Amino acid sequence: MPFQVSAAWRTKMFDLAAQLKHFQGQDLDVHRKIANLGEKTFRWESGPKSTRQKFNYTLNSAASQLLQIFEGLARQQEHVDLISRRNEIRRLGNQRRLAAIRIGSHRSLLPEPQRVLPMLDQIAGDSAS
Amino acid sequence: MILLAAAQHGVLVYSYAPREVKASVAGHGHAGKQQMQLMVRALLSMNETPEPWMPRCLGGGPVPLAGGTVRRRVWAAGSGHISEAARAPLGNRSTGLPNEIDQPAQLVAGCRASYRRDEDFLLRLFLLIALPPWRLAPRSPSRSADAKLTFRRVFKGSSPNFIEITVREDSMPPPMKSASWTRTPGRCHSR
Repeated sequence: MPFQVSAAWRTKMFDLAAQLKHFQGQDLDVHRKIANLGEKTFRWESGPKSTRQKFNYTLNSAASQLLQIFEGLARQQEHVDLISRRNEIRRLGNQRRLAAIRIGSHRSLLPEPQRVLPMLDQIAGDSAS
Repeated sequence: MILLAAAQHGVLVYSYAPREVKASVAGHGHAGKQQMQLMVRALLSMNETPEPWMPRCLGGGPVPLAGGTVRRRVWAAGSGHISEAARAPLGNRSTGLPNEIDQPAQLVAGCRASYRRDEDFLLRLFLLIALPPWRLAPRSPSRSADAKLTFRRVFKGSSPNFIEITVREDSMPPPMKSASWTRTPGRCHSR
């Protein structure tokens, strides 16, 4: 599902990737015995060139920042997807997701909270919900 | 003495064996100090690795995580067991304990400091969002127009257990669709 990321965030993300030398020859994993936090992969593609790095947990500052941004975008998009879907089928099921958006916004966990506003306006203006 | 003081002040005390704390936080009960530090850092999204504040109370940071809340007062009681007071959120009330118990106070101070660092991180993220585009770092000259940056996370047992986001750099003219998102919660799959 395509969505738009603002130019500022794109610039920030690509700058962080550049700081990480586009993941070329960078070992990002902490290589310690810690719990499995999920396998994360960063991949950079430019024309025929493609580089990638996998890690479980990293202490690298730039990689952590990039990870936070991607995780925030994923979280935000998940909220939008689920609310849009439930709006068509089961409107009453939205309360918990709306609360999650409120908490995420309050804790600055959503990179672009303004993207959710049109959807929230739509819900607010819908007298049936 | 700690348990008595807690009882006199109506504070609920829960006791966790070190292995229970380690298993909940690091995935196995024999995790080392360093592993616990890294896991606490990972779970709280902290910028710095927290210090183990007391040699016998490795769980000073992890206990709240194991107990299901991150803002409870925590201290060690007895040898080999870690107890948690669950009366009020950190910072809302005084500890309700006699003054001679110094170690809990030190531990609470450590907890406070680490959570402040966490809040600092969130504040910085907020400021980053608030910054206008021209305030962000300049573009790197090495970038090409057709570059794509992809992030993928596979984590069985989490929801969603698979996410993938691809961000395209082509920004002139402003893109209508600059990122794609895939998620697979359980059996569902959308692309």
